[in-house]
Amino acid sequence: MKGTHLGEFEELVLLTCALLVDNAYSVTIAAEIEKQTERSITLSTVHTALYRLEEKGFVESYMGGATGERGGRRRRLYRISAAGFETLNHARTMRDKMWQMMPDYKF
Amino acid sequence: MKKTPPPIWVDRLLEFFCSERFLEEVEGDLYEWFLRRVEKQGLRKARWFYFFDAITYLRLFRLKTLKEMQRNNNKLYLNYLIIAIRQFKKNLWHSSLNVFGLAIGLLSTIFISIYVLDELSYDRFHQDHEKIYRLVNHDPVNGYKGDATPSPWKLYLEPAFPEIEAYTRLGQDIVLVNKGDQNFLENDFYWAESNFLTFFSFDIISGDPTTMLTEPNSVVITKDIALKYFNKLDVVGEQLPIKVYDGNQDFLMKVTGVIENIPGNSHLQFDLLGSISSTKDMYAEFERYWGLNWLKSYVKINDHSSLEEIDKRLPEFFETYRGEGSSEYSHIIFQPLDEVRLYSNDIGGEIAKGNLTYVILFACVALLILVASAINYVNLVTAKSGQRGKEIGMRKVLGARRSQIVRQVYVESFFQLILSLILAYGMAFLLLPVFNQIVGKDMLVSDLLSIQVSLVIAVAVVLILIFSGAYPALILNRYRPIDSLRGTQKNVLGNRSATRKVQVFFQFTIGVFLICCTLVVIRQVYFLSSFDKGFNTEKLINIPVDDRTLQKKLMVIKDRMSQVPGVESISATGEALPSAMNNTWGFEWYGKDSEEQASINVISIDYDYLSTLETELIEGRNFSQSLSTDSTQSVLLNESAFRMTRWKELNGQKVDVGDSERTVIGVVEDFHYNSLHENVAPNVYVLAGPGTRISPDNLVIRLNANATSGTIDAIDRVWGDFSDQPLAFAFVEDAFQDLYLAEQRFVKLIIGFAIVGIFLTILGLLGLVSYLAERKSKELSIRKVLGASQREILWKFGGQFGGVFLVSLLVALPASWLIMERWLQTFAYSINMNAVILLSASAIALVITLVTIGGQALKVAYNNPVKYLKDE
Repeated sequence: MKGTHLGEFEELVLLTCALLVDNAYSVTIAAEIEKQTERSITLSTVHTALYRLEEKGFVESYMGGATGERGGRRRRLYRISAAGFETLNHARTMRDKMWQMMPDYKF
Repeated sequence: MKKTPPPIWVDRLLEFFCSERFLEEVEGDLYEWFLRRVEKQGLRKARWFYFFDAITYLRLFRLKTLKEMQRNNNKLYLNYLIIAIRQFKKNLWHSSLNVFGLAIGLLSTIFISIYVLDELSYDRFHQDHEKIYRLVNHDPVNGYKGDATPSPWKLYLEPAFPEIEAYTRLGQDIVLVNKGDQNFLENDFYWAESNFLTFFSFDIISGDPTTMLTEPNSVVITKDIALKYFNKLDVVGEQLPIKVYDGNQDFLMKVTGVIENIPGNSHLQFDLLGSISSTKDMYAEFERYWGLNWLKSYVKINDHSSLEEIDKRLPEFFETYRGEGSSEYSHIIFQPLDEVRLYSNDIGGEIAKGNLTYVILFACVALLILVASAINYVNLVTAKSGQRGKEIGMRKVLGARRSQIVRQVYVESFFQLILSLILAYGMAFLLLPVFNQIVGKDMLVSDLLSIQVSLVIAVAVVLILIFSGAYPALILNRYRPIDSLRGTQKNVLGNRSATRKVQVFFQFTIGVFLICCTLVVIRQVYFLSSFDKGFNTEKLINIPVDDRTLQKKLMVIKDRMSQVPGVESISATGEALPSAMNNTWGFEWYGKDSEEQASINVISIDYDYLSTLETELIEGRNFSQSLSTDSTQSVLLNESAFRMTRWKELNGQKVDVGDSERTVIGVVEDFHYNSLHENVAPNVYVLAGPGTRISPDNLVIRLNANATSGTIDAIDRVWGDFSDQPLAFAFVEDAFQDLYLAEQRFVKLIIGFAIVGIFLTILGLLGLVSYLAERKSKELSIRKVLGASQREILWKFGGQFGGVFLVSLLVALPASWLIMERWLQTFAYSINMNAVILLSASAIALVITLVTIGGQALKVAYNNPVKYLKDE
């Protein structure tokens, strides 16, 4: 079914968005992902991912206040929706379930 | 610390494409991200990255919608476009000429680009092409270089030099392929090593490239050959009977693979590949024989730096394997595969060689034509913009800003440019077959659209757009709206004529350069065709006799043919005319230094050779049938060999050719047996019967005045009595002309493009001069009223071009001298660049200019001055 699938990067963005609670927008999310994963993030991909997540109904957005460090421009803040949280949770349970079935590998 | 803002033009760019829905947040995000980058990476990098970050926002969903675009002042652009179309219609003749001129320029650029790119793309489709080298057989003593290499090279080189990763060889053989009851002659048959198809990257259609050339009697064929003999592509496993023409040996070959037809930009061109293991018996003695150069060799070397190392150890290699002292006259040049096409002019071999000079020259000509047409275009646009004063004034009064006027000019320029571009590509598609025929390539329509060509054209278009827009925009913005509306505008169109002069200078220079090149090319070609070869090529026929069994009957065939009415005389010889000379042997003579290394072409002839060719004996006598010793103990030398011996006169001295001592009985005039790219090498002529390597394998026939087409038929009938193969004959004169095929193509092309270029410069000059005449008409008319004579007026008007013309000559003549001198150097015999050529080029240019300018000048000088003065 098109529209509800959660890509790897999208999941990462959604997760970060949930963690940052009231201060989640492109820049903070990108910075947080860079910090956590230590990989280089392109700002626009985060923006694109957020746009797609909003389309799928996993996040809700609202315009925040303008600050000086943004050259007086307002920011679009994101908040995780119930559906988004459920999808995230579902993804984790499924993963946990599969991890339990994991045989005892020795490398 | 004071905050430095990110580059503002990036914001503008963002505003240009980004929908308003996202604009604010995106700009804010980018700004914050920028500040973060400043802290982490420093200001300079941050500013740089700001642009890239912004560009990545370019996604479909963030683009402006059509509605948004209509909402703002973009509507003006539509208006500009409409005005541009109206202007075009209004000045239809003028505008079409303008567009057409530019289209011709672009068309020439497109064609020359695909030509140049094709030349540069040779052999680069192979994987690891930068690691592949062709081995060139080099004799440092006499300077000979050739692509045919001795067989023992592979035998000994591979173990001696571990740096050589792979080594492959192939050797040509002319074969007859049997299909049904018919035999087909295949020239492009090669014996190839088992690793040949893994070494090079030719496209395989079916079969396993690692094994298809391993087994004896395997043959790999191209798509075309498969279709020719089997009418299908699925032919692996089929039988193909092949008869080797030269060795007179039959093979029943098994098809083990089919490959794509060889791309046109490969220097290796073959139709059939036989496994070289099949020739083990036939050519067994060659494997360790140093004296025969036949196979072409290619090696793969991983590390470029090890080449020097190999080169250092080569002398030692030759001393060890070929024999003491051999390193003096044996050397190997490792020629990079990428250079084989364009840098092989001094290397012997039957590949189609490209010519770097041509590539450079064409690139120059393309650039010149493009510059000429661009200048014309800019000029005509500028000249016309003078009439737009009122419109611009009105626009300004209604609130147009400077930048908006500039935008309008650019939209108009862009509109015309797009028209020319469409026209140019349209013509390119239509004319590609014609162009292909002229240059002898088979480039595809898809090549016209290749990335590189598009890039060249895109750069050209952008440059023309910038220049053609910038100048009119500058000029038009100088109008003061009040002046133009009142109709009292001053002449703003560059009263200083520096810009004009620069443009005239360019036109002159390009014109003179092209005229000069054309003259040199035409004179050299005339020189080649009228060059005295030292023998008479008229009505001379050459018949190759490659079949060994037939060669034994050559004397009988000769006898029979000589009785055909219309045949003046006939001779059997070991070398065709023209010939690249196939038998080069070591040469010793009386009085030679023992240190000296010399080689000589050995040509077998018969008693009638000299009389048939109508070439002169300079000293001594011809072979005589009455002296039996002549056939085994005498030789004739040519002049160049005679010079090499340093003998003062002929006195029964002896020479040693291929270990047999013979007496020199005569010296033959140096006649040109090959193209004039080559010097006449030392030749020795001997009498030889059938059955040796130098045995006669050609018949040369001189027809007399009575010869008709029936004569050829009669010769064909005689041939048919002896051979089941079709008679292959060529008129020597035509064959010599074919040697200059590349030159003939080049001449056609260069003259064609030169005419285009000259035409464009004339067009440009005409436009410029008529414009200047219009501008100066008032001044000249006043002079006339005040009593200037017509001659003075002419002088005044024409004189301003004189200085520019002289400067152009100073630039164009040396430039053409340098480039054409380079071209002439590719011939061993050429005309000299001299003052006469340069003077005549200048004179022609002057005449053209005078005719162009003169009409306008006369118009000004002879017209009633009232006509120009009245309108105020």
